[in-house]
Amino acid sequence: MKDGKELDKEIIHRLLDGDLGPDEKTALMDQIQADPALKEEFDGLTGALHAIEKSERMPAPPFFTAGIMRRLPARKAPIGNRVRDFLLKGRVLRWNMATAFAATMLLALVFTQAVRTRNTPVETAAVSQQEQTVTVTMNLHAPEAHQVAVAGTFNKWKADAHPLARQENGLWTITIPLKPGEYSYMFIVDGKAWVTDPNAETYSDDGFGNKNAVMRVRT
Amino acid sequence: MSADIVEEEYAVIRKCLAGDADQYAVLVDTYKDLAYNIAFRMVGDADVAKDMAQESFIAAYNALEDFKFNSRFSSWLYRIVVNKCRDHFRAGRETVPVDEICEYVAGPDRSPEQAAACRQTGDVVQQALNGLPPDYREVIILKHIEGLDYKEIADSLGVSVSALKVRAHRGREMLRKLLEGLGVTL
Repeated sequence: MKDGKELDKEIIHRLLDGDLGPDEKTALMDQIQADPALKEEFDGLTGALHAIEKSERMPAPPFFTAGIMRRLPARKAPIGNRVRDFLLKGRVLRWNMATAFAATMLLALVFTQAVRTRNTPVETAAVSQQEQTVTVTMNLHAPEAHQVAVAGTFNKWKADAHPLARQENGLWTITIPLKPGEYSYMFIVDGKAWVTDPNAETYSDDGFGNKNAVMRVRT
Repeated sequence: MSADIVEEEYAVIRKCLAGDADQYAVLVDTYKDLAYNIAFRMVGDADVAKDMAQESFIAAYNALEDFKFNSRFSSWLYRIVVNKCRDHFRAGRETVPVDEICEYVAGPDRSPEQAAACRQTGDVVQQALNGLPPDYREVIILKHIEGLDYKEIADSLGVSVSALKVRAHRGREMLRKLLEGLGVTL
C-alpha cells in the first residue's frame, strides 16, 4: 500500500504527464507551497525535465542524405512507369569501345545512305550531332528556396544560364543535353548561396574550401 | 502537422513505390535531424548515431511497401529508429559505459572538484540519459525532448499508454538522481 508521500509523488507525475484538471492542479500547487518536502520533490523533477528539454538538439551531420541515397537498393517500378521512363527520362548511357565503334559505323552508314537518297546533308548532320549528346537530369531538394539554378564547367559557371523548375514537393529539377565528359557543378539557391549537390556521383575541392559536385557523362 | 503536409508525404511515398527513388531524398531531408537527434540521445555517440539513423532510413525504404497510408511517416520512423537502437544495445554494443556512470553517480566520496570536472567533460544531460535503462530512456527522449504525446509514442512503439507512463514516472525519478549526482543544481 502506498504511503502519503508516494501518493504525493504520484500526483506530481500526473501533473507532469498533463493528466490533472484545473482544480486538481490548483489544489496540488497549494499543497506544494505549504509542504517544503513536497516542494523539493516537485522542484527536483521539474528541474530535471527542464534540463533535458532545453538540451541542444543535434543536427544530422553533412552529407547524411547523400550517404543514404547512395545505399538505396533499386526498386522495380510498375511496367507502365518503366516504359514511360525508358521513352522520356534522361539517362547516362555506358558503352564499351566495341559497341561505340559499331554504333559509329552504323551511324556513318545511315548518314551516307541519307545523303545519297534524300540529298539533305545539313539535316542529317544535325541529327548526327544531336546523337552525340546525352540528356542529364539534376535534382535538388530545397523547399524553402525561391529560385535554384545550376552552374558548372558545362556553362562556364554562369549562374543564370540554367534555372531549375520547382515541383510541388520542393524538389527542383532540370534536364539538359550534355556532351560526354566530366563536369564540375554547383547549385545556386536564391541567386547567392552556392550549394553542393548532396547526391552527386563524386566531389572535388573547388579551391575555396568547398566541394564541387562532379558528374561523368558517358555515351 | 497539417493534413496537406501528410498528403504531400503520401504523394512522395507513392512516387518512391512507383520506382522514383530520388524522391526519397525529400523524406530524408525532412526527418534527418529528428532521426539523428533521437539516435544520438539514445546511444550517446555521434558516429553510432549516424549509422543508426541512416540504417533506419534505409530500413524504412526497404519496407515502404508495408507503409499503411493511415499514419504519419514520422511515427513509423520513430519506431524504426528506436528498434535499431534497441538492436544495438541487445548486440552488446553499448557505446557508453553505463556502469561507470552509475557507479560514479552513486559514489559517496565524490568531491565538488570531481563533480565540476564531470560537468566540464561534456554533455551532462547526455551522461544522465546514458545512465537510464533503454526502456526508460526512449520514453523520456520521445516525450520530453521530442515533445510527442503518449498516444503517438504508444502507436510508434507498440506499448500501452499506461505502461509508458510507468516508465516515464520511473525514468524521471532516476534522471533527477543522475543529474543531481552529476552535480547539476535542480
